[in-house]
Amino acid sequence: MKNILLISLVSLAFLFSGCEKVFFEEQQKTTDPFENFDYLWTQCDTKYSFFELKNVDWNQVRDNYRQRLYKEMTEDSLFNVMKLMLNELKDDHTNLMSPLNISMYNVARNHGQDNFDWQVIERNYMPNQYITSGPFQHCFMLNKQIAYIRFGSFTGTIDDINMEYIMKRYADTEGMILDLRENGGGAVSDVHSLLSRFTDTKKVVLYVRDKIGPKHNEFSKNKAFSITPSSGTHYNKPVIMLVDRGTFSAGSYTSLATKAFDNITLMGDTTGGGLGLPNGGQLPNGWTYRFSITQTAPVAEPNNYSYENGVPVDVVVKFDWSDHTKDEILDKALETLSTK
Amino acid sequence: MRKLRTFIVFCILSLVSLFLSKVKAENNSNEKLDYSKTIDFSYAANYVSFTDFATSPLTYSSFVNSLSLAYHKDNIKRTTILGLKFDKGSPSVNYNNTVSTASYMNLDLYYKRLYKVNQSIDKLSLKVGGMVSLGGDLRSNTKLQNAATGIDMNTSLSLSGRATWDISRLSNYTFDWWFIHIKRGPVTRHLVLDCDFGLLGAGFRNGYSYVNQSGLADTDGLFAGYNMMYAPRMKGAFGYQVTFKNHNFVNLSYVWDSIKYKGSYEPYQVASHGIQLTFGFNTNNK
Repeated sequence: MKNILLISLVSLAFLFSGCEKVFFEEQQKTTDPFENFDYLWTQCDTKYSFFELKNVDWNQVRDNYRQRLYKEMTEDSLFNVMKLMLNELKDDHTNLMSPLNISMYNVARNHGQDNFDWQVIERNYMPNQYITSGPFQHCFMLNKQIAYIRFGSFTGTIDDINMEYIMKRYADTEGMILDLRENGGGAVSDVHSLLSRFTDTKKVVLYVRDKIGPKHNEFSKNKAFSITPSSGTHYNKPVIMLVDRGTFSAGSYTSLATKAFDNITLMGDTTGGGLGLPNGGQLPNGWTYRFSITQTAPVAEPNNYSYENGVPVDVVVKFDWSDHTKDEILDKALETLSTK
Repeated sequence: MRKLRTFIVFCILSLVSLFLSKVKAENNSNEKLDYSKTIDFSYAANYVSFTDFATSPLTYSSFVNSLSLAYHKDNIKRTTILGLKFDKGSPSVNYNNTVSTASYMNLDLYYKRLYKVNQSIDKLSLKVGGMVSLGGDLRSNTKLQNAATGIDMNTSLSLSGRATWDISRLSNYTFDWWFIHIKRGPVTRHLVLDCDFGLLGAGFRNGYSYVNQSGLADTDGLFAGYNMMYAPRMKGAFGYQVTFKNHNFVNLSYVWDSIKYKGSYEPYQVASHGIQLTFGFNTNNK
């Protein structure tokens, strides 16, 4: 009797551990090209947020690229097929990452000319050097009439100290240039930190919504994004924000938000878009991916999410690459501010 | 936010119902029984495996360190345990020349109450009752970019059972063979089997889009988009316990725990298997 009970107890313990095999799902671990392709296609199909806006027939895309797969294909070849499939979305928030390569569509290269060269500005517009405060490089221009602030990346490092220093240093200028050309984005927390210095009242500047179901048009209700004025120094004089196709993601959020600011003018070229927050995930073969899963609309057009294709500027100016001593966009901004 | 409130109400109701049952049971008790009251400290090396199908179809696994603290009140008729467990480790997946590692933390608070079941086998004690638990884990995996952080919480009401088989040595034991001479006195020993079957379980976890827009949307907080889902939990333990004359004890157990969050979205499942060493210190030296 004693032995039977003992054996029963031990068996029961092992039985419990086997229970998880029954109600747990098997992991999908495979390097099979078809399974990985189908997994990525399905993830995009059920979660990507811009199919309708970009008029992409995702089923057709699958048919076009799946036929390029074969069982014995190399990882490099599989990567290239999946990269081309994702590039059909024309979205720099959509990437595939493997130990071999990282895919990117590159909106700036495919949809417009380059409009920024830091060396041209450094050599020809900043004779007395510049100051670096956190993520900003800045200096006076036009006999201290204009403040020039270069903001190259949303590094998440805007804080009260560097912003307050800049706001106070340029408080007596006639206008300010915020240069966000080729700013590829980063931490969206910086959007609020930056814009909170340019308004005295709390204002809704954007609406955002999330994907909430597998259908291409299943979204949450619009959620407001407000800018609350900073308790520090504000700048209420004219501001020109320079943008181009390289201004992406958080750069585009900032550009679109400025449509709600009377004292900020967008100048340069249409931004690269990137107004969908990307997710992140992993394929059955261990590679990782991301793609956009939200949408954004300006406060004046709460149902218009088409700015994903780029935020248009108020004043269009292009860089002339035949003359490497001038930045025509910066020149136009300086001219505009100095005559106001 | 409404879903978070619902989840919190569910947790509170579970706890209240269990504590009310405790009060009622104590009021009905006419017998004065000697309790052993112990504070139990445990360390376990748990092998944790989790799969979050919302972000990856691969299972992350590794040994994690687990520390537990429990207040344990026990007599012939009743057992009550209030415990807290904390796990920490770095499960990973290494596949196809790609290594991904997640940081993993788990916190679990539980209250268990068991009552004796009459049966005819002398050496066997059977108790059944219930357990309410409230727990959650925090995972972070930078390779998943904006979906790097997963916070999953659960509460469950389980049907619990404990079988204790008394294998005490009641007389002296001697072993003599060639130059080996072993002499041992009487000792109180038990084999203990615990099992908890989840009857009701609610999980609270990332929603469909998984990431939240707390940096952009005024109303999005830490748990924006989170959803309630069914989360059945099962636990078990099988251990060898030696109790000393002062009622302190040492227990070496195989422990197992598993939970699956399943709803209309991709499920999350986590299981752990481990070896646990527990020291129980008697606090009722009357």
